[in-house]
Amino acid sequence: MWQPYRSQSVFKMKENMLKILRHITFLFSFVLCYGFINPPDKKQDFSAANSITVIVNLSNPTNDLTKKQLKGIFKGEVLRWPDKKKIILAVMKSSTPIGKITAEKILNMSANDMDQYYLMQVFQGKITAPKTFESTEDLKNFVANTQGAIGIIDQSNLSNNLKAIKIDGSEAISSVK
Amino acid sequence: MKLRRQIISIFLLTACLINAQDTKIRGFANVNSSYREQGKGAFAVGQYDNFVTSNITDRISFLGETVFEFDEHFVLDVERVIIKYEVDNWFEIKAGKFHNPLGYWNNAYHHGTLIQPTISRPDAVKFEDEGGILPIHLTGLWLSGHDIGKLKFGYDLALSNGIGANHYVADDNDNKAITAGLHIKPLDKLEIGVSGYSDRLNRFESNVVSGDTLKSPISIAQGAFHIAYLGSKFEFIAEDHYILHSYGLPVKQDATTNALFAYFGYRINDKVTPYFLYDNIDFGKNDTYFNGLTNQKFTLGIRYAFNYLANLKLEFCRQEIVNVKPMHVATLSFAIGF
Repeated sequence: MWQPYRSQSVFKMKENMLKILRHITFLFSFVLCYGFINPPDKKQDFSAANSITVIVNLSNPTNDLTKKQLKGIFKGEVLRWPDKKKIILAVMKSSTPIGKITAEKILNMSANDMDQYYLMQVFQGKITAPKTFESTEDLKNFVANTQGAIGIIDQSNLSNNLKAIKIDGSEAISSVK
Repeated sequence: MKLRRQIISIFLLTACLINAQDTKIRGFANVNSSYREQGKGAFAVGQYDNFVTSNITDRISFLGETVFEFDEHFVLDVERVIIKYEVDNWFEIKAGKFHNPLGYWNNAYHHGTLIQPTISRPDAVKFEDEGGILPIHLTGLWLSGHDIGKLKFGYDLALSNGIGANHYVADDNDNKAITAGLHIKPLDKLEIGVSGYSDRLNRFESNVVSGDTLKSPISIAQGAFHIAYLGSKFEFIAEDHYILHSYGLPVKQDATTNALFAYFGYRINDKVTPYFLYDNIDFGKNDTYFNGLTNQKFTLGIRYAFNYLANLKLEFCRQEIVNVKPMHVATLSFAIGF
């Protein structure tokens, strides 16, 4: 049975609580105000990419995926291709337009949440950290040279040394709603 | 000297791993400042956490976590050493020292406080060296699978040295501990699970809580239920742990301790998250193994994330212990990852 401490008067207890609350109110207010004054940038700059496409290494036998399967792959829920090769995620940095689109359109989370999600998954030992890139060319080269790699690029950057995967029957995913 | 040897060993291991394929080294650190009622305000260096992952082959990988922390002196603790063989998402074999897959929090959040939503871990899942009552770290073998089928079913089965064992090289009895857990993710970002742990401590073994010699053998059976939802607006984690201690002859009695916690967070935006944590541990009357005082704790806090690698947390906590004056503590913590 729960037996709270009763020998101290309620008045004295409230006085102590108020005393401490006074000390921390200023700090709380400061943190809250700073957060409201500087909210995260809600605007997503998708202007650089109208359509995105999912690319894999030319040796990958997979041709089609559903959007649900793609999400499972990028969330680290699916670790291997049907031929049992390890899936290696190649992701544009969350600060880039394609990185933001990957977070929003594929993972259904904000760019910051995507970074945090991957950090947590790696820290929990569930997935291998995705390879992150600032340049589309670097990502393309990595996928072209790495069996099992999968990445997302602007459709206009697709080249012959890469294979585009159809998502729900389409080679491109619209990056705008 | 011992610390120096440990540090050299860690650096040698790290150097070897760097030469291996795809090795990543990360770190976490935090600095806290706390103000305790009728006490002195103080600054404190939290844990400095080194985290290494390495892909040795397509299927074999390594994860190591080493923590420098102050415990009378600065000590180096190897908190996790996991060698994993991955067949697929439905079957992985892990060996080494790992966090007990009991409940949700213990396996989701480790030593880097940056990632966990509060400054301190809930009382039920506090680390052993911080007065925790659950077996947080285990050394042994761990089989697991995750995201199987439509319900994203997952399982854990661990065979380990158990409570009272030296966490690195030896067990102090022949009884191995078993942890088993099942969980599902019926919705995106929602996990529901049950888990259990069983172990047996022999008579005359040293009590890991009090240090006294056990007067009777103890069979330990623990059951846990958890639900966790980490959405874009709301965060909710709740766990309930039942711990049954069956004391053998000459004591011959059972005692049940119940530990639970519930965490709620509301994300105002990507940066600001006010939260509330409720802790309660109800020690069994005759549970002489724990010999603890029933207590509950209310924590109100706010988290400000500069980005995913830096956050500031401010907490006000009230702890009520049976027949003891309530305690109030305000804590500010700055945590980073690199």
